[in-house]
This record gives sequence, structure tokens and C-alpha cells, in this order.
Amino acid sequence: MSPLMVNSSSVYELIQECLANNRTAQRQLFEIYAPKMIIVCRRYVRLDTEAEDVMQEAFVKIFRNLKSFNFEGSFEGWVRKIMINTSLKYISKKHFQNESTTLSEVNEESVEPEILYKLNEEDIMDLIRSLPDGYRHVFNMYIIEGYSHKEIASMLGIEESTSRSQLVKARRILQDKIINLQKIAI
Amino acid sequence: MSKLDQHFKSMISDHSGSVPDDMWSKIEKELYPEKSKRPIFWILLVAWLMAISATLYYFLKTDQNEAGNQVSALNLEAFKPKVVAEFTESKIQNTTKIEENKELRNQPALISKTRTQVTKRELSQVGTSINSVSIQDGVTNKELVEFTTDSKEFLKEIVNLPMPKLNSINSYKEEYYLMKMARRSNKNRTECPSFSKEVAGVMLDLYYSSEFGLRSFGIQNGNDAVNEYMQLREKTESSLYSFSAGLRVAIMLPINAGLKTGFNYSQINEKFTYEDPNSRQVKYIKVIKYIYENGMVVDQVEQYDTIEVAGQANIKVYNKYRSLDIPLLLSYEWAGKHGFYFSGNGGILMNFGFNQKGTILSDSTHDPINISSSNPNREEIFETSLGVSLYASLGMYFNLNEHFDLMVEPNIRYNMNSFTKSSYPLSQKYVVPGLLTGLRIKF
Repeated sequence: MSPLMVNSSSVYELIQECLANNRTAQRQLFEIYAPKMIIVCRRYVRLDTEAEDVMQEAFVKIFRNLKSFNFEGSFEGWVRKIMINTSLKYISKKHFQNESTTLSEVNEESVEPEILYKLNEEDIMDLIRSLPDGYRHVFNMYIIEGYSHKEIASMLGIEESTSRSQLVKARRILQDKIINLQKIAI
Repeated sequence: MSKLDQHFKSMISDHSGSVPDDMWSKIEKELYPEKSKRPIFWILLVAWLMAISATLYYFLKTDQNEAGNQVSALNLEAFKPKVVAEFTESKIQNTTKIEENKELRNQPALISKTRTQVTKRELSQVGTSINSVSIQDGVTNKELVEFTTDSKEFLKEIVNLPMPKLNSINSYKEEYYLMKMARRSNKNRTECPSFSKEVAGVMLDLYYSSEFGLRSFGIQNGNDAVNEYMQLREKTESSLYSFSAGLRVAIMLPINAGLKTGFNYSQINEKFTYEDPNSRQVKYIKVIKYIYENGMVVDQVEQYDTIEVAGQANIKVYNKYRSLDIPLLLSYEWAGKHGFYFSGNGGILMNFGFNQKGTILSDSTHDPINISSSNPNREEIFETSLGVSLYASLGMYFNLNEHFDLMVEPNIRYNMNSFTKSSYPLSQKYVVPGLLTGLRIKF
């Protein structure tokens, strides 16, 4: 069941059941959000197996700390935030080395809209996951999740300016890759 | 936000992916780590061993006392003066003569009289000096009461028994031996019901029990949504003939009560039937192409392919739930007539091994899934240990000879714990009535 198919009141009822340690309800809640959250984790963590580990850890945190959800905002947003934090924590533990990449001067306008709209979800996922770690995190957090540079800087422990510059670089890399795809298609 | 950003966000933000099937079970294991049942099992095992040891100690101690030469006081009030007087009246004169001719006791010429003399001497003591009588060997008060009250019948038996040694005439130990022999003898058994069974002793029961598992499902976690699933399982699974087999040692004390323990193997059989109207059967096809040249086959090429055939599949699987248990039963046995005796048994079965084989419907997809313990990809539905079950039975035994009895024992077993894990939506418990038949070996 997709999260879109359940309204917030039925989710809240499920949460109440989960708080009463109803395992069936916990499983239902997991089945509602897991398909979407696995994609969130995969966007941050490079390997699928690692993403699965991260999601497992995050769901354990969610069920253990469910009482801290205040039933006011979006439960999906709350779940997503825990997924992202767990992913970032996992990445920081692994001490990723800074990856260097060569950026070419590419104008965004040079990307043909047709090729852009031909890309499906998997293609876009592959493009995002091909980004170097730091760029990928900032791109995910700013573009997909909607965090501000200030929040990103706080969460990643970097300067706001670094966050901005990494976003710019991430965009350029993506444009570069899309143009290459465009050339191959021609 | 640029077009590229917007396009990426719209495509990705609600994108869903596949989740590994076993992820929930992993999360559940972290959330609810299984409490080790080992300590409880070991506590039960230690308690069981202690009970066995205590029983054996008590039994052996009693046996040693009986074999020794300690003097034990006789509860004179237990004797029925009427019986004693009645007997001694007719025999007292002969006894007196023996008392007077003590020197002749060890002579071979008296062998033929020995059997009656032994008993007469005791009876004479009871009859003539009842206030000061004591018994030299370890015959228990109860047995002496029986001995005295049934003295006539006892003598009828005892006169027909071979006497082991002449020089033991003086010893009450041999008298006790004679008494035991009389009890074990088939002769006059119907005339003497109280001696038709050895009250105390160690026996081995070998048995096979025909059973029928009465299953009951219950909803765990209080969720009514699984009602439909429960009905599907009830519809697709039916009970079949089941059985138990095992052996148990019965340690019976002189008080007619005792302990029975051993090993029990049980197998509950069920049949799973399912009709899948949308089944797709995969068939493998091997195509061989021959290459001809001038009408002769010079080569051949083999190709493999698969095709799917749609249709209805009728699935029938025989499910088995197997368990190994240690019975720990308290038993009370009493004598009947005509070589029969009876027992009432009650106690627990401590499970130390459980596995299952077969197919049931999945709680999530309602499709058939393999639940066999040997299947590494099975869903974690069933427990590996069933804990403690309750057991009760009424036994009837028929004495075949000195060493063997036949036994028939209607019994009922109740599995207190569910076969399924608490994470599974349904509990699955059984009441198992059965009819046990077997052979009792007496030592």
C-alpha cells in the first residue's frame, strides 16, 4: 500500500496501535512506507545492500521512538527525516574519502528538454547515485528534500558556502552526464 | 529551482522501490529479541533430574531397609485381632511344638514342613505375645497388615512355593521373600486380589498412541483484520490421523504412587489442499535441429526453451508437526481383579525439539508457502520449541506374566503454547486425544 493511499487519520490510528506494541500494525506501517524509503536511502548510500541496512536501522529507530512523534505534522516527513539522518550517520561512519571530479563548463540551457523528459526514474536514480558523495548529499537534501543550505550545513557539519558550491558542482556534473547521454542517443 | 531540478524532484520524490522480503523479520528480531528459552529449559531439566534422583534415592533406601536386618516396630493396632485369633486358634498347637523343638529346625527332614512353619511361627508370636512382637526384617507395616488380614489366602499361596534354603527358616527375610514370591505368582491370583500386583518397583513402558490433533486458531495481537486469513487456513488445512510413540520409566513407590518419565515423540498430521485457478505451469522444451547434407544428418543443434501454460493447479500437501518431549508424570496405580490393574496419570511434557514440514497459506499474500524447517527461505512463522504441555491419562493393565503386562491408556494432551511465533498474526494450539497401547516390562 502506498502512503498516498492511506489518509493521515488511518496512519495515526496505525501509529496508536504500534505504540501499543501491536506487531501487525507495525508491519502494516512498515509495508506502507518501506518501498518509498528504500529509494531515499539508495539516493544517499551508494550500494543497495548498504541502503537496506540503513533502512532497517532507521525503522528500528522509528518504532523505538514512535512516542516522540507528536501527531501534528506529516508522519511521512518524520520518517523520511529519520531515514536521511540514519543514512548520513552511516556515511560519516564510513569516512568516505573526498572524491575529485573534473568539471567541464557546461551551460544548463544546452540540455535538450526532450532528452530530459525521456529519462525515467531509474535513469535519474542512476545519475544521482553516480555523483560524488558530498555533491550527492547536498543535491538530494536541497533539491529533493527541500532543506535550506543552512540546514544542510548543520546536518552535514559543513559551511553554508560549501553546501552552495557543492550543489552547483552537482548540477554541472548531472548536466554533463545528460549531455553525454544525449550524444549517445544521437 | 531550474527545470532540471524540478524534473528531478518530480520524478524521484515519490519513487518507490522493492524491499527485500526478509527485512521486516529482521526489524522485528531487533525490536523483539527472542528471550532465550534455554534457561527455563535447563531449570526444568535440573528440576526433573532432582525429582528423579530424589525418587530413586527414596526407593532404593526403602529397598535397602527391607533387605537389611534392622528391627522395625510393628504397628500392632493395624492387625485385626479377629483374623489373627481365628487363624491361631487352629494352628497354635503345631506352632508350639515347633517352638519347643528348636533344635530340629535346621534338619533336612523338616523341609516339607518349612513353608507352613515359617508363617505359623510368626502368627504364633502375634497370637501369643502380641504386646512384645517385633519383626526382624524390613517388611513394612502396611504389608504386614495385608499379610495378617489375608493370612489364610497368603498361606494357600505360600505353601505351593519352593523354599530357597532350609537354614533360612529362622529369618524373617526369607518370609518376606516368600511373600514377594507369592505376590508375583500367578497362582491363586484371582483368589487374592490384593496381591495381584507388585505395588512398588521400577517398570519400563513401551508404547504407541493413536491420536487426532484438534487444532484451534486464535488471533494474536488483537487484530480482527486477520479473520479472513484465519478462515482461509481453516478451510485449507484439515486434521489427519496422528500418533505418538515412546518409552517411559515408571518408578512406583510402596504407597502405590510414583513417577513416570522418559521420551515421547509426537507427530500431528494435517492435509493442506488448495486450488489455484490462476496457476501458470512452466514447461521446459528441448528442440533438436538436424542439419542434413545429401540426405544425411551431419550435425544437430539443441535448443532449450520454456513455455508457460495457464490453468488451475490442485495442490495437496501433507503437513507434519513433530515434537520430542520429556514426560514428567505423577501416577497412582491400584489393583483390580482377574489380573487387571489401573492407573491415573497426570503431568507435563517438556518439549526439547520441534519442527514442521509442509505448506500453508501466507498471511501477507494468501498464497501457498513452504513452511518446512529444512527450507532455508521459509518465513519465520513457527517456534523451535513448544515449552510445556499438559498430559492426563487413565491406564488399564493386564498382567501377562511375572515380567510383562499389557497396557491400554486413553490420554489427552494440551499444548499450552502456540506452535507459531508471537509475531505471526494467528496462534495455533492443539488438544490431542489419543489411545495408547503398549507393553510394560517389570524388573
